[in-house]
Amino acid sequence: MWMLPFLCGLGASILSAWGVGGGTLLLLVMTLFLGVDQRTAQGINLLFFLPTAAAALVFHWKNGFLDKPTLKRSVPWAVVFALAGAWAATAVDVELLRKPFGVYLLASGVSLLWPSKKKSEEPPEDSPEKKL
Amino acid sequence: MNEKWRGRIAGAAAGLANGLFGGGGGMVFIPVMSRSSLKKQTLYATCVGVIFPICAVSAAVYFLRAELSLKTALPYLLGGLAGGFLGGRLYGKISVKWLKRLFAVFLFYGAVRYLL
Repeated sequence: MWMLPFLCGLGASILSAWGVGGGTLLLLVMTLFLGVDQRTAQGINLLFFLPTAAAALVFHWKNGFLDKPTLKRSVPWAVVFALAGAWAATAVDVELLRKPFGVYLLASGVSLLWPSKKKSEEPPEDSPEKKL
Repeated sequence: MNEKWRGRIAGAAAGLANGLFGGGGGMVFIPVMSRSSLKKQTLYATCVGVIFPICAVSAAVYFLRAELSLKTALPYLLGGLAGGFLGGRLYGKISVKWLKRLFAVFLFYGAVRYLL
C-alpha cells in the first residue's frame, strides 16, 4: 500500500527539481487517482516539497544557480501571502476552491505550452551557455 | 515593471496560490519572472528557493488548523526525498521540453476533472 505513494513521490520530486511543476503533479495524482481528499492532499503536497526542495536547494546552491537579489525581494512577500492563502484554505470549505483550482490548472497548462515571448530569446538547447 | 517590483509581485502571487491550493506556486512565479534577466537554470533554481519557505509556513498553517495525517504522508515524503537527490544530480543534464508539454496535457486533464 505504501509502494505506489512512494513511487509517485519519487517521480514527482525528480520532475519538480527540474522545474516541471512536480508539486502540482503530485497533488493531482493524489486527488484524481489515489483517492486522497483535497485538503489532506494539499497538506501532504506542502510537507512533501520540504525535504525535496531542501535536497534540491543544496545542489542548486553548490552549482551557483540561486539568484540572491531575487530571493531577497521575493521571499518576504511570498511568505506573507502564503500565510494568508493557507489560512484562507483552512478557513473555508475546501470544495469552494475546486473551480478556482480548475481555472488555475488551465492557466498553468496554457502558460507552460505558450510561454511569454522573452523565452524565445534564450539560447537554443545546444548552445554552450546551456551546458554550464 | 522594475526588477524590484517584479520580484515582489512574483513572490506574493506565488505565495497566495501556493497557500490556497497547497502547491504550484512555482507555476505562478516562473511566468512572472520569465521577463526578468535571469537565465533559465538560475530562474528555476531560485524558484525552488522561494517556494521552500512558502511551503514551510503553509504546511505549518495546515498542520495547526487542519488535520494532517503524518502516516498517510510518510511514503510520499520518503519518495520525495529520494527523488530530490536524484533530480538535483541530474539537473541541467536532461532536456525537459517534452516533459513540460506532457505535463501541460496532464494539467488540462486535471482542469477538466476539477471544472466539470
